Amino acid sequence: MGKIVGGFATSHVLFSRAGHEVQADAVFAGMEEIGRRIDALSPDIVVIVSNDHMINFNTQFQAPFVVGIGASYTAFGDLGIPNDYSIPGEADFAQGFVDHASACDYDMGVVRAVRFDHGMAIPALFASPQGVRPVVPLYTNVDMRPVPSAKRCYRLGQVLADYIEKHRPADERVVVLGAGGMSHWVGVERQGDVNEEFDRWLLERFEAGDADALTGLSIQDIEARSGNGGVELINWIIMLGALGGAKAKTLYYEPMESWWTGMGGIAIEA
Amino acid sequence: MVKPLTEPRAFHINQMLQSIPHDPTVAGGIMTDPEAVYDRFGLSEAERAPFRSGDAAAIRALGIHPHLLMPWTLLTNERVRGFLAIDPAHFARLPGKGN
Repeated sequence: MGKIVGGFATSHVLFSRAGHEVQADAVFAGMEEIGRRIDALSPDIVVIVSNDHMINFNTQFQAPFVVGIGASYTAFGDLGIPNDYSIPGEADFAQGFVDHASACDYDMGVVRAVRFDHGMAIPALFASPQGVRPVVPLYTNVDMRPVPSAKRCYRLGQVLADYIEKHRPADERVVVLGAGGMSHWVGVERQGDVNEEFDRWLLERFEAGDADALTGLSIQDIEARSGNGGVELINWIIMLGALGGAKAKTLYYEPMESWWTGMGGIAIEA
Repeated sequence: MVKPLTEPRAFHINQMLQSIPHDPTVAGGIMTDPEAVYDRFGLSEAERAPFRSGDAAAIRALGIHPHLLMPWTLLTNERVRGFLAIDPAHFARLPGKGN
């Protein structure tokens, strides 16, 4: 049986420091800390739960959940993200997860030649720097109706944990990293707003291990309080489900109004 | 505000916007000969006006997917493009990228 050795979640953008250097450096340091902690856990595989931003999946095609079954990936290169190296995938793990999820009533889409936009590539910079370890991307649809519910996402995280425990080789070590959020509004009138109060309430719920409160949120609630971008919270909730709803520690939080987003990160010890 | 479905009335505009990161002839065309790009994607006269004036609110009102304003802004607004990118100081701290 494999083992989940740690869970993390982080926002997944990095922008200019100009005019708010201290805050921006605190965010970057928070992401570096996640990278250090992942390194210290020596995982064999990192499952990154995130979403695309109209690069691989757009209004032409969307699916609720999509798993990367490719042998390797490259970054698309948006936001100036380096794309001059490849990141290994783990096709056997990924296909096995898709099969197990199907047996657990989750029918997943699969993708091979996906090119990571910032949603997957920023967390990968820290989880698998220079492609040092395999990554399995798990994409959620947060862009079009219907977005998978928080409850369903939490349960999918449990299915992932069950898969690793029952079907993976002994001593295989897996980290789960959820990416996205926190509050932000994209391409709508409220763009630029940050709901720090709601972001901090969410972090408190993760710190308390209060899965009931988090999974009790409807997508409409989340969108009303933290924006169409804040719906990326479901990526954190899948991670939480995989970690059995355990209590988190907040590693960083900055209400980055000049970046048009709340930025936060958490860690959960397995 | 609820998450959008694909808006049938704006799908051709969405297709133009979502091809910007992938198709240099679209990205380049918008900068050098936008009318030819609008022709290619079948934008009506009324649908072209907000792009000509750069009025973000009017572009949104066409029914495009909200996220698809971003590729157009990144293409046409150098200041935003420069700001919404990893800072060089942070880039240099990425493993294998300098230090």
